[in-house]
Amino acid sequence: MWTPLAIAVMIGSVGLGAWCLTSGVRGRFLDQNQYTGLLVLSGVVLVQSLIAVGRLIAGAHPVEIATFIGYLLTTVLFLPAGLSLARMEPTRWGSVIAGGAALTVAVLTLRSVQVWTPLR
Amino acid sequence: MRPTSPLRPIQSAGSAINTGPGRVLLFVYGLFSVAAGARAGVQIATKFDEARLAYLLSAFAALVYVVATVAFARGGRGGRRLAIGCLCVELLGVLTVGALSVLDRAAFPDETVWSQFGRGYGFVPLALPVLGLLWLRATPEPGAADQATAR
Repeated sequence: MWTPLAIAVMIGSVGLGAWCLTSGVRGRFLDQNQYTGLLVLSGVVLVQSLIAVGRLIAGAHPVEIATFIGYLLTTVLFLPAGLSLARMEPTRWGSVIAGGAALTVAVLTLRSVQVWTPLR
Repeated sequence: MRPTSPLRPIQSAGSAINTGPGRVLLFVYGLFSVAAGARAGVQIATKFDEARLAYLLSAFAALVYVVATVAFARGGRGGRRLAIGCLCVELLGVLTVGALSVLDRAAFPDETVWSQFGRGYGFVPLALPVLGLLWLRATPEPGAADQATAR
């Protein structure tokens, strides 16, 4: 994990998630900007995971390695899965799914950082 | 909201539980299947002897979430019945395990998804079966009207 990028992912996903949920509450499906934002966020999450894999190969050892790898896989796959489900439901509920997926990525990233870094 | 027309074909009526809010439930159940399943897998693989009851319960919870996900994905009459069964088991499970984990902490040395009414997961495990059952109650049972006219 690279903490500055992880913090950026968390801020970005909370912001995007709140934005998508707002659209859901207003009864609208995602617009093009939100959709692009979610795709960019998926890309950044992928980059972050590749950095983590690189550091694992280089010898970094997270505190709970099994849990960390679980979080890593889930985080990478989560937004694409949420987005494809959201696209099957082009109503306000699709926005709720996309927003929920983005907020979950924030939680998953936080948990990844926690199991990576030893508690002090 | 979906308009309900009497001319709507029977096939689409059968998929009513897996559209709209139902698809959000499908998403959340999918998420909990992964979360509970991965947690149970790690717990059982790495430290099963520390808290056998808690880890077996984690695995059971994961199984219930997986079946509920399948039920919401399938939709129709079968999916609806399966979903009702799963959600009742789940509600019973979260209430029982939640109460036991508060009353008898020694029996649950490690957390499960349902411990303390799902506090570790923002109480979503407690809210989920309630919201799910409310949603299933709000949707018409597919095929029921069809059978009534056939007689």
